[in-house]
Amino acid sequence: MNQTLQCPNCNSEIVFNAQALIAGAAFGCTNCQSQIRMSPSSMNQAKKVYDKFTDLKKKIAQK
Amino acid sequence: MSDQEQYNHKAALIEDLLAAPFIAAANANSKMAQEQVKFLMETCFDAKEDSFSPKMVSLTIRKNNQSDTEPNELLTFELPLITIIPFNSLCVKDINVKFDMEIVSMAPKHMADPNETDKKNMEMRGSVAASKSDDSPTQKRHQSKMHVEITGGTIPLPVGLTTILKFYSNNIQLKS
Repeated sequence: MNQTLQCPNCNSEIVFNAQALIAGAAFGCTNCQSQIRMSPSSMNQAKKVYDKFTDLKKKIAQK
Repeated sequence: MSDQEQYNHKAALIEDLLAAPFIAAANANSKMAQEQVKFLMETCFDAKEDSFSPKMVSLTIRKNNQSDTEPNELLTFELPLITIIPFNSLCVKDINVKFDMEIVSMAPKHMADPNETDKKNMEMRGSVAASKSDDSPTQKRHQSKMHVEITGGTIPLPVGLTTILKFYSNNIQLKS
């Protein structure tokens, strides 16, 4: 699922995919060509939460 | 109490009978929402004495400078973790209930005038109709079946929460 984020440089919208962003992919602003990427220091924390939420969704679906 | 009276006593008001599966689905929906809120609070917020503060994640932005002489600038900014993970609310989206109803009794509601027997004021009691199964010639079982089909789905986060998230993402401050 794609999400959007306001570009900190030009305020346009940057479309990104959370799973890919957490995995280290970079996403670019179509207006100013700036690129955003998750800092390596935050990747683990974000990945843990993303995986936990995916598990929760599965758990609820099974109930 | 005669058998018939006992049977009538077991039967529910038809409105209760119709509402029961929907109330159960609404309760299930509420439990799912509670579990998700608990999850969000535990994973995306740090509990302080009397408040919660969002856990932040750090991102970098590489500004694309137009001129070839200047190097691209690398800056960092922080966002609440909750704005990155695509949270949505899980819910009961569709519920289909199918059963045969057996009207067990019909009696006037308790009214001021006991002689009044207006059809609109009738109290109907019913039960899920039993079907006889002929699997054994000596024993005949009565089974009542209600078919309930529930479809789960996702809906966007509540408006209040998305407003807070939007407020955060619209106020990103870059750090060098």
